Amino acid sequence: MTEPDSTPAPTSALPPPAEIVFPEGLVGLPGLVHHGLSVVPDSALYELASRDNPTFGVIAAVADRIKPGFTKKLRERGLINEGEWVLAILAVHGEPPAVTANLAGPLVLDMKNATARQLVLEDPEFRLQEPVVEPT
Amino acid sequence: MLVLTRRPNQALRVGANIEIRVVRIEGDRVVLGIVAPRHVAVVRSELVEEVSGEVRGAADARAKLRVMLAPLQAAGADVSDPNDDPGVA
Repeated sequence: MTEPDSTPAPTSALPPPAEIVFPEGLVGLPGLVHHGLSVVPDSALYELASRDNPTFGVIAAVADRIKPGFTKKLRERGLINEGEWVLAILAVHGEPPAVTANLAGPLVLDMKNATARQLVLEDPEFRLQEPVVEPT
Repeated sequence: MLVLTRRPNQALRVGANIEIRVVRIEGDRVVLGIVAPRHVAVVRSELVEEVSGEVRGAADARAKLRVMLAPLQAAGADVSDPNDDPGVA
């Protein structure tokens, strides 16, 4: 476990595995407050694993890699602060299955304070199921 | 629940900084205009439910997702390398 005070200041890369608190929980899941954030082994993806419900966890990617400029747009709209990171939760939909990213409900991480929140964005540009990997 | 009756172009206030105005009525649809501080999220309730459902679905699909993404990672495909991410301060 990484103590919040020892979490490095925001840089261009996400920090090592850390504990992070969503004071309001996730959208529709207010009880999921405490999470671990770790790198998925052998990947550049991140896993958010609930400490409050060990069966719950999601895999996420840096939102800007899914939609370039995403973080900048949120910052311009005053929705996130300087230095905060934005992740998009990945999911699987359709048949054949395809990977999608949730840009309508991004995760905003303040690693300096080890806190985070989930936004809900009312904007058709930010899709709930943004295609990441097309079906093969 | 507080229930109020408003006509087109009439408004109501929520707290000191939020105004909700009835812009017009189109059949069974009411068009609302909302003025709120930037930090106040204004979203349709159904969108909140959709996002919540998507989060639950993502959690259920975690194992499947790992399997699907493995070949891409092995091939060096980059879906989320933040190391050169210009959008992150």
